[in-house]
Formats: sequence, structure tokens, C-alpha cells
Amino acid sequence: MKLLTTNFIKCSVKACESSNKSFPLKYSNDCQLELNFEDDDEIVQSSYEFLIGILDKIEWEALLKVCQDLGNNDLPPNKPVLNEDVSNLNDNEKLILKQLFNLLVNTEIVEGSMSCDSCEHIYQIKNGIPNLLLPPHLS
Amino acid sequence: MSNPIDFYTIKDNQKKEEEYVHQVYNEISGHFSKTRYKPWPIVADFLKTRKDFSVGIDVGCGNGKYLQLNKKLFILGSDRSDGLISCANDLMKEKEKTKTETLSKEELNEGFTSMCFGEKRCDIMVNDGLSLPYPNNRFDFAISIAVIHHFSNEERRINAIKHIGSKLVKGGEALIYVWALEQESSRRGYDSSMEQDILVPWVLEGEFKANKTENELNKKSREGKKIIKERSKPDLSTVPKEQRSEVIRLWKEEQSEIRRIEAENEVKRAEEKKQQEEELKKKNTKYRYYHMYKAGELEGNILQTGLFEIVRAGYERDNWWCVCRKI
Repeated sequence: MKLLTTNFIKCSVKACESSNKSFPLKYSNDCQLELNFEDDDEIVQSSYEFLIGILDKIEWEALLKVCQDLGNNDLPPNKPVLNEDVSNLNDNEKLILKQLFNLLVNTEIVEGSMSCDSCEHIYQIKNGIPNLLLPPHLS
Repeated sequence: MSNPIDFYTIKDNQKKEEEYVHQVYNEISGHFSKTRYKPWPIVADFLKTRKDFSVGIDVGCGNGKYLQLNKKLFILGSDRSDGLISCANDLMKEKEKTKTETLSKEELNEGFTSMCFGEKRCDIMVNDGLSLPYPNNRFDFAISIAVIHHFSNEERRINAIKHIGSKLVKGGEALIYVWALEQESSRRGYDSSMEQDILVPWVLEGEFKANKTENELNKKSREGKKIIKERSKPDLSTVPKEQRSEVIRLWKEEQSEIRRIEAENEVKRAEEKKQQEEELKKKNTKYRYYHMYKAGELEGNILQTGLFEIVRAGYERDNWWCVCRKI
């Protein structure tokens, strides 16, 4: 599971629908992360375009919280504003993009668990795949 | 075990779906996934025409064949079957590092965006279509291909569509495909007068097939066949002359008894073999529940959610499809 995905998933429990504590989920500190370095220039370039493109959709507060859960406190406190033309970035913007690329796209949670701050239900991540199914009594 | 007769005795809809949809997909996932690789043109076209850098969900993504068609999208794919999600994961892992195109030359020529696996922009997970773990009003689009027809009553089908709608932003579009009752031209020959709620057999083949019956699996290695030493003539060398005719008579009787038993065994073995073959066929046939949609029914379900307006709808390859927009 990519770190980007954590920004789009919440608790499955119906009763947590209205609670603002069910998003983002809380990631346990024993989560195993895997960083896949990508150095193919073409892919890096298109990934930067992709990141600038979807930055709009990211909820920054939630991202900061998940990164904190996983022991990364390096992100700027506010969502950066980036030049939309990827060929015309300044050094600072390039640095931020590289950081976001490694964090959101290249980092995967391969084993671990996440839980809901509202109902405390725990969901497992195995072999990189999160399982959000609920036991019968909760579904 | 999904037995077609038991289905009609199950009253609980969730239990029906558990036994006749979820379990079956887990049992056939490997074989099923191998038969699902070519994207359907209308689905591919829907994905191709999404706004760049929008975010979507694929509810019931199966082996994930639609997740990597357009590299300017971020798609979360999910399925109720962990067997199918595991197939999707294997397919992605297989090619992730190779930077191989996910599309064929023909598809690239048809104008689809190319994506190589090195730039995977999707993710997969196991979840339930009626309890999707996604924030409401957050996604730009959704697809649900050949999924809604597995919910076992109309209320659940409408709720499933409504639940997808709840995840979309206002103006977000969904493409939904369901199996059509009207498929006169297909080999199944279903037509509009037939029963809509049916069990459809899936027969496991090739490497996915079970070759042993439960009985054979439980039995320890077979006893070696007894070799009956048969002599063409009785040994008369030690028999006094006057008794020889009696010995020969007894020997002949014994021989005919042996032949009779042998013939009986032959019939028994043939029966056993036939029974085993039938048992195997049964073991390799899995029944999935479907609600086959009639013309107009899908649009009806969608409108009943109160969340959507219809953008366009049609029929393609034995399926009804509809693009709808959240209002």
C-alpha cells in the first residue's frame, strides 16, 4: 500500500461515518516500510507531473498525521504551492517534489496495521495489501 | 461447497452472497483471473476521457485489469475476494520492475495513454462494496464492472450503487456494468422471458482443476492388484488316473467361478469410475449467483438512489452499462 493511499481511506464501520476521527486511520509504529528508488528519468519526470496534478486532492493535515505515525516529520506544515510547469521549477520546488515522490509514490507499507481513532477497530496490512473487511458483528 | 439446490433454502441475503459469490470467487480466482485480461472498450474509453490527475475508485476490480490504463489517474481498486486481490497483486508485482507497457500495441494505436508498470499509480485492497472505507464526497469518478449483479436483492443492489455515489464529488461520474438477461446471440441464449435470479456454473479447467475426488484423497496408496496365478491346465502329475476326470471337472468349475467374479469386478470398477468422474465434475463446477438485468432496470436502480442523473447508457457484449453523474 502506497502512502498516497492513506490519504484516501478511512474506517469501514458505518457508525464511524459521521465521526471526524475515522480519517485518517492511525498507523501502528511497527509498520514495515519499503522504499523503491526510481531513477528512470522519464518516469521521474512523469511522476513529478502526476504529483503536481494531484496535490490539489491531497488533504495535507491527514498526510502530516500519517507521516508522524510512521516517524517522518520532514514535511512542511502547510501544503506547498508548486509551479504547474514541471520544466520550470526552482531548486526548492524540485526538492519538495522529490521528497513527495519518495514519500507518496515510492514508499509502500508492506506489513503492519492501522486502526480507527473512533471505534478502535484494527485493520491488517499483509504482503502490501490492506484488508478493510469487517467481522460479521460490525458489518 | 456451493450446491445449486442448497441456494434456494438460504433465506439470509448476506449468507447467499457469502456462499454463492464470495467463496466461489476465492475458489476460482486463479482460473478466473487468467480469462480476464482484455479491457472492454467502453470501460477503457471512460477511463481515457477522465480529467487529468483525477482520483477514482474501481469497486470490484477483480484482477485489476483497469487500474493501469491511464497514467494520469490515481485509482483505488478493491474487491470483496482476497483471492482475486492476490491475483491483482501478483500481476502487478510481476511487471512492476520491468518497465513494460501495460497496453498492447493495438491499444496504444487506439489512442490509450501508455503506462509502464514502473510508474504504478493505483493501489488495491480487500473491502466490502456496502462498507467502502473511503471518505465521502472525495472521488472524481468510479467504475463498477460486473459487480452489482452479484447482490442478491434489489434493495442491496440499489444500496450498493448509492454507496458508490456517496463517495463521489458533486458532478463526479460513475460507469456501471451489469450482466444482461437479453443475450439471444450468446451461447447461453438467455432471453427476456427467463428467470432473472440464477446460478451460473463455472467449470474449473486445466491446471486449476481438481483431479482427485475426496474419496481418493482420503484413501492411502492403493493396494497393489492381486495377481492371480492362473494355470492353463490343472497339475495332474500326482493325481491317480481314476480321479483325474473328477479333478478336471472341479478345476473347470473353479475356473468358471473365477471368470464370473472377474466379470463382476469389471462391472463394479466401471461403475466406480463413472461415479468418480461425476463426482469430479461436480467438484470442479462452482455456482455463482447473478441477478440478470432487464432493459431499463439498471437506469431504474440508479435513479432510485436519488443521487444520480443518467448521462448515457447502452448494451455491449451481453451487458447493460450506464454512465451516471452525481447531482
